[in-house]
Amino acid sequence: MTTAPAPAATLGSEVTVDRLSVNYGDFTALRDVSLTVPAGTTTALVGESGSGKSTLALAAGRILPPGAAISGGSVTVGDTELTALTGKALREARGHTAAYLAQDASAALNPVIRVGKQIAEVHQVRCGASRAEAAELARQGLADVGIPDPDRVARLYPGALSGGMRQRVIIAIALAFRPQLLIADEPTTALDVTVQADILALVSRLQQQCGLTVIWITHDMSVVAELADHVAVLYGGRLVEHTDVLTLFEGARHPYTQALLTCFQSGRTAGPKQPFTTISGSPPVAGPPGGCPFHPRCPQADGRCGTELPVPRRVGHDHTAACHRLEETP
Amino acid sequence: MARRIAVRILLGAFTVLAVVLLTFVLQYVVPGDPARSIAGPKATPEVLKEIRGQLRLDDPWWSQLGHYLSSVLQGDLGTSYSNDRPVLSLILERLPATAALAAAALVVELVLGGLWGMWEALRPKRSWLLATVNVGLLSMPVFSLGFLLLLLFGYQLPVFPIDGGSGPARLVLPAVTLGLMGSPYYANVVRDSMREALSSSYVRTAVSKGLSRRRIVSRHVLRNIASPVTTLIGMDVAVFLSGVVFVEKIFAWPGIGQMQTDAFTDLDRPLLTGTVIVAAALVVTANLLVDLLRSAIDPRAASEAP
Amino acid sequence: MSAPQPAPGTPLLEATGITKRYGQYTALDDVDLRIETGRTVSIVGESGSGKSTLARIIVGLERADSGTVRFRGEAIRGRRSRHAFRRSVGMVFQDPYESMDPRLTIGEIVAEPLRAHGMYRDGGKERVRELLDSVGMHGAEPDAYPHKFSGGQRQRVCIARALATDPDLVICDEPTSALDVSVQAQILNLLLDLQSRRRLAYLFITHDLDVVRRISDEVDVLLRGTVVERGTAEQITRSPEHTYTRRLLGAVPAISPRQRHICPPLDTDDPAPRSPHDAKEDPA
Repeated sequence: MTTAPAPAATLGSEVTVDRLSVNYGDFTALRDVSLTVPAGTTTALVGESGSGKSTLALAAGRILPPGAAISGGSVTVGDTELTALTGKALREARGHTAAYLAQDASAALNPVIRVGKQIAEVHQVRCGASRAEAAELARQGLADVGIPDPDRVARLYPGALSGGMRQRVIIAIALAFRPQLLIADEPTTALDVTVQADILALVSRLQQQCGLTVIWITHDMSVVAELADHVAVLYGGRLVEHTDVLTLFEGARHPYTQALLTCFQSGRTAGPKQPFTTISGSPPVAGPPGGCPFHPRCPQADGRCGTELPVPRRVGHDHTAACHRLEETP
Repeated sequence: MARRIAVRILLGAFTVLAVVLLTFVLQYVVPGDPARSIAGPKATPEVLKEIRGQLRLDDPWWSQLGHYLSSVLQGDLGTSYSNDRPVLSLILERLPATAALAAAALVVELVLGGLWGMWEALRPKRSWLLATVNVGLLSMPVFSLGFLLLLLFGYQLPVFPIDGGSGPARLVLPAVTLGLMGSPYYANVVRDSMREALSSSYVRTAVSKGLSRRRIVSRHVLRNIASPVTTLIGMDVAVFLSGVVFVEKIFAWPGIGQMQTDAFTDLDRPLLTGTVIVAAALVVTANLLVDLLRSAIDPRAASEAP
Repeated sequence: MSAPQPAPGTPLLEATGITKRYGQYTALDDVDLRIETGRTVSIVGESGSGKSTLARIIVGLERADSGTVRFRGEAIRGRRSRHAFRRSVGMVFQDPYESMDPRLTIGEIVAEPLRAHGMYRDGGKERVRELLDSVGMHGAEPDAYPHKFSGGQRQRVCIARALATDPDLVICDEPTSALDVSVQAQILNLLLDLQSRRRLAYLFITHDLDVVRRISDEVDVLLRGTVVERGTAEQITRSPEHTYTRRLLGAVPAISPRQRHICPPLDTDDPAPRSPHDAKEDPA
């Protein structure tokens, strides 16, 4: 047990994303995004397809696919500037400084390697634990994420597990190192609602036990309501609003955030067979238009919105929004 | 698992039986008189008649079929017309040579194709030279490649013996010919499945664990491509063991393939059908082994339907 | 439709005693289902509940081990009745990307069922236009290929295809779960609108309980191949009786951070640093 840090000993670190931009070839998936995640808290990144939320997650974990590159800005976790690392230092930061929780657990586990081995590998390779030590740590890791009978499960292949169990294994892998930052990329989207509830409860329990800093990517406002401390809303590769969760739900300022919340809340409260509240149009597929990325769908857009890009402005304590029409909107 | 194996064995047995029946039918369809091919062109009608009687060629077809089936089931594949010896022992005599060639060719194509495919998969850019070589080899007839190698390394630079002699040196040219012919298939399978694995979500998980590229490739990627490569090996083993006619003929390799061509020109029906039946049995066995091997490597294959 | 007029009171679709086993595993165990004309029945269940198997059996993509499916009172048995029945049923699938052939134009995709049923032998150009218009694809060229369209637009094309033979029943298998949040509502509105205009009946398969409450007349809760609870949408979502239904509803995350029930509640008495909600009064 000497090879891994004790659970409660590590506390999450503050995470600073500063003017981060990511390109896939000529296409800018994420542009000039800045946000800070206080140590030991959860920030939800909310957005639809093309919002850049997964790109931000992959960039922050330094696991962007080949072809994608950080074209500007930085991500700093604690004292470590992740975006400046290369080679061995980068490898060592992965999983330790920042760990990544994938969306589709069935694809994220290697189908031909036993579950226990996939966790033990981290301890064996990264900390030089012996085979027996690593196996014991893996068993412990499985027990920590609430897997009953971890000895048996460790010997199974991923194909023999249910979706919820696979997601727990993925969490065990991500937490094997007690990372300073946990990046969760929609880890419950593919799960049944009861399993999602179990996973949400598990992650928030683990977060409180270990003081993890969490960046949680989602498109589901109810998941945001359930576990976020702060929320960053992304649209078309831009940060459009950033504040704490209560302010967002009760005093959102950006028209997109407001529309998203209205869709979500009316979906919960409106009567049967009543029309659903919608946002017209669909998220930009090939890249955002000029000006404000949301202007083609925005009910409040005027001429300026189509040509000039709004920059995030402070609109309250710990609250920024990027919109030209903020003076007019209450 | 045991049930699955049993089903596979049963299916294999049926396949071989079907081949046996088919060869029987083919004996009727193939033109030419076996009695004449045994006795030679100058034989008298009396001699021919006697031979036909010995071979039961004048019996009704169902009697012939019954006799044929019962002897095949007892391991008696008949007697060769051309040299008057049991077909099975003739085949078993040739099998080691063919097996040696198959094994050597397999090593060549596996090493060559595997390294080639891995190299291509790990390089970001496509190599036009390799793509051309790939298509060139795929479209080249086996005898042209064989003759080319023979010309280059047998006559121009006499490194390897062309004919006669024995020992491993003689094996090199035919094995390289077969290996070269097969390598682009391996290269393509290895390259494509490796690229797929490299861009997979589980490799991303491995990267996010902070593993080195070397470990990711050796532990996470190679195990996942083992399954398609094993399938390919299984198909090749079957093809090679059932005789590689052209290569054995070109390099005068005393294997089953060469025997097959001789049997064909001599119209030696028992020998010809014997080689076909043995080939079928080998193909079925190779497939079964590959299937078991895949189940051992890849837990997903173990749950497939038989 | 030249079918004889059924007796009044006969449901549009009635499935009785549907049972399906895969080896040892029982996917559906004696399931009954009734859908009236112009109404929506939702089947709610989690993965492995058998909800998709039930839908596949009803449209005849799979055979049940026992049980009958009746359409307008007539049992669907044999190829002929199945073919006729298929003309009266449309299907919309979860993933609009996977449920259409990318090599066909959207016009060809919509016209597929017409061709399969030998309708509109002239190619049905006008019919295709009309269908595309009816799903809100007014400007869309029928000669365009699916990849030109967004996910929501593709799902509209799939709905147009489902409506091509002018069916009475449309089976929707998670039609919005692959779509963006802001687009889901558009598709649901379209489905509601089409229902009221065409008196369509829907069999809705979903796991989204918010959607269920708002679109359904009746809800069947499926657990491991059996219906454990059945009732109106209001009954099921407001006052569920079966433990499993309660568990399902209890697992739906909160509507507001003030009402957390899965994760620890927000500490609203302590404004900073976790929740500085007094910030609203802070002048920018």
